[in-house]
Amino acid sequence: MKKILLLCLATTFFISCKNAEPRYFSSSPEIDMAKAHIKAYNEGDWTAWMSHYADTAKLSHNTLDESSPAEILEGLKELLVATSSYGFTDKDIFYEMVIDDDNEKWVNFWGTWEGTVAANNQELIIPVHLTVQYVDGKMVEEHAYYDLSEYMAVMQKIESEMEVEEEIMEVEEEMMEN
Amino acid sequence: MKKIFLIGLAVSLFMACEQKAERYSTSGSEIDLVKGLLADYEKGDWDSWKEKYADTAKVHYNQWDDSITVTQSMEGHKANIALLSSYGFGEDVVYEKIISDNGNTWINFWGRWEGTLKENNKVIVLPVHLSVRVLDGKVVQENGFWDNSIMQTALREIEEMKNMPELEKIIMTNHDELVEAWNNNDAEAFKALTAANVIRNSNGIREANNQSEYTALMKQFHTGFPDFEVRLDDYFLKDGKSYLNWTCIGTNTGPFMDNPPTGKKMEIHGYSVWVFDSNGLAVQEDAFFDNMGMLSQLGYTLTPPKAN
Repeated sequence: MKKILLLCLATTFFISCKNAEPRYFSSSPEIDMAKAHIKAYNEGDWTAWMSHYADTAKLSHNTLDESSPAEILEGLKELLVATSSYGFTDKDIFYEMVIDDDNEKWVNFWGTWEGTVAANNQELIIPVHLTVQYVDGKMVEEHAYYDLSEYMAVMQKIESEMEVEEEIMEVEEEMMEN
Repeated sequence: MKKIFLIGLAVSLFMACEQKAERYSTSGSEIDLVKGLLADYEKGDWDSWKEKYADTAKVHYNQWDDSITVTQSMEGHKANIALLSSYGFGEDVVYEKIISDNGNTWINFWGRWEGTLKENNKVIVLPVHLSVRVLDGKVVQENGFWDNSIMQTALREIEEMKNMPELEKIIMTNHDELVEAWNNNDAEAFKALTAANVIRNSNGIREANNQSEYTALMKQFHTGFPDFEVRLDDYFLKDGKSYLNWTCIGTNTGPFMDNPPTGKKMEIHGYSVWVFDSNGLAVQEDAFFDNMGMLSQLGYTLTPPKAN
């Protein structure tokens, strides 16, 4: 009788243990995929970058509005066209995966983006956070948080400098004509 | 002996699973601490807010290397809040507690911040992520991630508005209100913003010669598409004219141009040039859009002409 009781107890513990499966991971196949995704971004390999997303993936970068991977890619390319180099550095980079209360797998990423603005060689350092849901090895949802204010300020500065240059050129041309 | 073995096994299994379970959770005292922190921020209860931080806490907002102190962070928050008539995080927030590989407890937060600017009542919405390290019941490190350029752009717009000629200010306000009148199918509001003989041309063809004809056109869209919505995507003003890109969406659940409803959705993108008079009233709109594209989305088809 006692044996049965003990067996039952052991089984209960075992079942409760089953229920308490690990929910936090610092390594997992999904984290490896996320690393490959960042690598593709750094290398500008957009075919590989796109291949990580499910066709129906919903992405939100600094907004609550949802976009497709193709739409986000277009936006990223627009930002990157002004840079002579860019990428996530190896410094301050963290990956983790959690399984949330809805049993969804989310990979959280914290990293440092560094880029050089082509027009004036100014270096930008932008911390980035991504939280990404994976289903069957594909990214189905992505939320990104990063501050573009420094980037925008540099772009505006370049733009206003160009305007001043144009004005000077116009004045010079007028003086030449006269 | 067997009994001891079984008990040992059960205990070790239990302990193992307890350890595993603790590394991720969505409730607990540390999460309550961060919830309290946000509640204090929303109430502006800075004494209570400050108490939740350790004296030596480091705050990193959108940067890794340099940190600010809790007092500096508070001053920053206060300065931003001074520009707002309301602010806060809504209900739709996510908290998690994790224990990292090096044994630190972090609370991760994802939320939607909304603030209204006092100056022009513009509502700013920012997705915000906070990652907060808690030790002995106090916040010792806070990392915040959000796009500050959204707020900076809104503040720059206010400055530009202040330096803008009076007529341009009126035109800007008026064409925002014109969009609102379109969305609400509000003929009275539309009439208050336009000249009596306001003209509308669509793709070069005259559609309206006065306010009544124009508002009839608005009504036609709202009858065909009861959920009709027009969004102003972008615009610029020059010499009393506004050049704007817009998007119209709607579901054709009502009769449209004498045709029965199709039940289909449409989304079209178009371009309009609005001309305003010296009082800021709209006198003419020249709209350009893909009419056939809209009808195709609704299921209409084009029949090629028969060969002669």
